[in-house]
Amino acid sequence: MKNKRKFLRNILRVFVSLIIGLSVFKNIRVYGEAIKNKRKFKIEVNNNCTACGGCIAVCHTLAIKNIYPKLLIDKNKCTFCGYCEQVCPVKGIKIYVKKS
Amino acid sequence: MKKILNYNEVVDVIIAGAGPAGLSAGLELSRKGIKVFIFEKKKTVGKPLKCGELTREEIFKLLDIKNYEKFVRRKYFVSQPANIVISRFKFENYLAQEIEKNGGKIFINSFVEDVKRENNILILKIMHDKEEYFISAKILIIAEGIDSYLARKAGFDTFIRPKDFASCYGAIMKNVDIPDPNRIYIIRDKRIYPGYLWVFPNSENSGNIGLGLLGINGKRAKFLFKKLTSEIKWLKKGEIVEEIVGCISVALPEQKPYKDNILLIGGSAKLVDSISGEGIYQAIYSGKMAAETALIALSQKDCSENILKTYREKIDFLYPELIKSYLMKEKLIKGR
Ligand SMILES: Cc1cc2nc3c(=O)[nH]c(=O)nc-3n(C[C@H](O)[C@H](O)[C@H](O)COP(=O)(O)OP(=O)(O)OC[C@H]3O[C@@H](n4cnc5c(N)ncnc54)[C@H](O)[C@@H]3O)c2cc1C
Ligand code: SF4
Ligand code: SF4
Repeated sequence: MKNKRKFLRNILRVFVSLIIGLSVFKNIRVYGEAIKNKRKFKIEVNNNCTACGGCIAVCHTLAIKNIYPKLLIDKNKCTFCGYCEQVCPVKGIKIYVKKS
Repeated sequence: MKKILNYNEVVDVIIAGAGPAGLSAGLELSRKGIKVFIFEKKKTVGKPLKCGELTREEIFKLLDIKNYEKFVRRKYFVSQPANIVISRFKFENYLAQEIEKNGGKIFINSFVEDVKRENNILILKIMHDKEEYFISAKILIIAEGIDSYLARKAGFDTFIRPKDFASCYGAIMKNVDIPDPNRIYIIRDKRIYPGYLWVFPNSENSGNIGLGLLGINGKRAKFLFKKLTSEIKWLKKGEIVEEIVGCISVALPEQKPYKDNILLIGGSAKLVDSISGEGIYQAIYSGKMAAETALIALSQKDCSENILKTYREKIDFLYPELIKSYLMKEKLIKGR
C-alpha cells in the first residue's frame, strides 16, 4: 500500500518536472532563435512616438538614443527583447518578424 | 538662447537637461557667479508637457522665489504636503530667464551624447543640428530625467526593469464636469492596479487627468485612458487640450548618485516617489544640494568623489520616504 503511494507520487513528480522542463525548453528555443536569426526581426518607431524617453531607460543594451524629436535605434545593439515595446504608453515602437 | 560656438575654455559646471532639477541647480550656481552651461535636447524648455504638475508650495521657498502666484494653477486644501498644481511651462521658462540674467547659458536643441574623463577634466560630446561639438568641464551634473542614457554612458547602473516602471498617458482636458474642484481625485481600477487614474482639477470644468500603470501590465496606457475616461460619467464629455505622454521610474533611488566629477540629480537619480509619482520637489531639492556641493568642490579645487560624496549626505533625508514607498509598491504588486 505504502509502496504504491510512493510509486504514484514519483510518477507525478516525473510528470510535473517534464512539463516544467518542456515549457522552459520551449522558451529557450524561442529566445535562442531570436538571437540566431537576428536579421529576421525588424524594429521600427512610428509616428505615435512623442520621444518621451521611457523606452530608453528599459533598454538594457543602450540601443535607443533620443535625438529629439525622434528616436534612433542601433539595430546592431538591439537583441529584440521587447521591453521597449511592452512599456511604451502609446504603441510608438514595434517589433516585426520580417517576411522573406 | 544662443547657438553653440566652439569653446576652448574649461567650463566650471555643465548641466545636461533643463527640467526642474537641472534648472534649479543652474539657478543656484548662476546666482553665485559660477559659469554654468545647460544643454537641453528639446527645442523649447518645458514643452511638451509630461507631468501631473502637482507639487508642494515649499519649492518656491527652496529656490527663494517671491511672487509665485503666477505659476500656480490651483491650490488645494489637503493634508498631504503636495498641495498646489503649477504650470511647469511658465515656471521652467521663468527659471531659464533668471539663469540667463545671472550670466548662465542655456543651449537648446543640443543633445549631450557622451562623456569621457581625462586628467581630472571631463570632455563632453554634444550633438547640435546634426553636428558634433566637444566641450570640457570641471563638473557635470546629469539631470536627464527618465532617459537614463547619459548616466549609463557615464558608468552608472540606472537601467530600469519593466516592473519598476510606470508608463503614463493623460491630458489637460476641458469641458469635464468635476464634482468638487477643491480636492484631488485618485481613482482605482482593477485593470490598471496598482496604478491609478488621477484628476487634478484646475477649475470646475478643466483639469489635468491621467493614468499610470506598471510596465508589466501589458496594456497601453493610452488605450486604457480612453476606455476609463469614457466610463466615468463626469469625464465622458471631456476634450483633450494637451496630450501628456510620459514614463516614471518607480524603482529604488540610486544609492550612489555621484562619481568623480559627476553628479546625478532628480529623475535621473530615480528620486521619484513610487506610490504618488511625485518627483518635482525631489528634483528641485537635489538640484539645489548638487549646486551647493559643486560650489564647495570648485572652491577647494578638488572635484573628486571624496568631496562630491557630501551631496549624498545632503539629500539623505529624501531616502527613507522613497524607500518606504518602493516597498509598499512591491507589496501591492505581490497582492495583485
Ligand atoms: C505622466 C507623469 C506625471 C507626473 N506627475 C507628477 C506630479 O503630479 N507631481 C510631481 O511632483 N511629479 C510628477 N511626475 C514626475 C516628474 O515629472 C519628474 O520626477 C520630474 O520631472 C523630474 O525632473 P527632472 O528635471 O529630473 O527630469 P525631466 O523633467 O524629465 O527633465 C529632463 C530634461 O533633460 C532633457 N535631456 C535628457 N537627456 C538629455 C541629454 N542627454 N542631453 C540634453 N538634454 C537631455 C530632457 O529633454 C528633459 O527636458 C510625473 C511624471 C510623469 C511622466
Ligand atoms: S517609443 Fe514610446 S516609450 Fe519610447 S520614446 Fe516613443 S513614446 Fe516614449
Ligand atoms: S527590443 Fe530590447 S534591446 Fe531592442 S531596443 Fe527594445 S529594449 Fe532595447
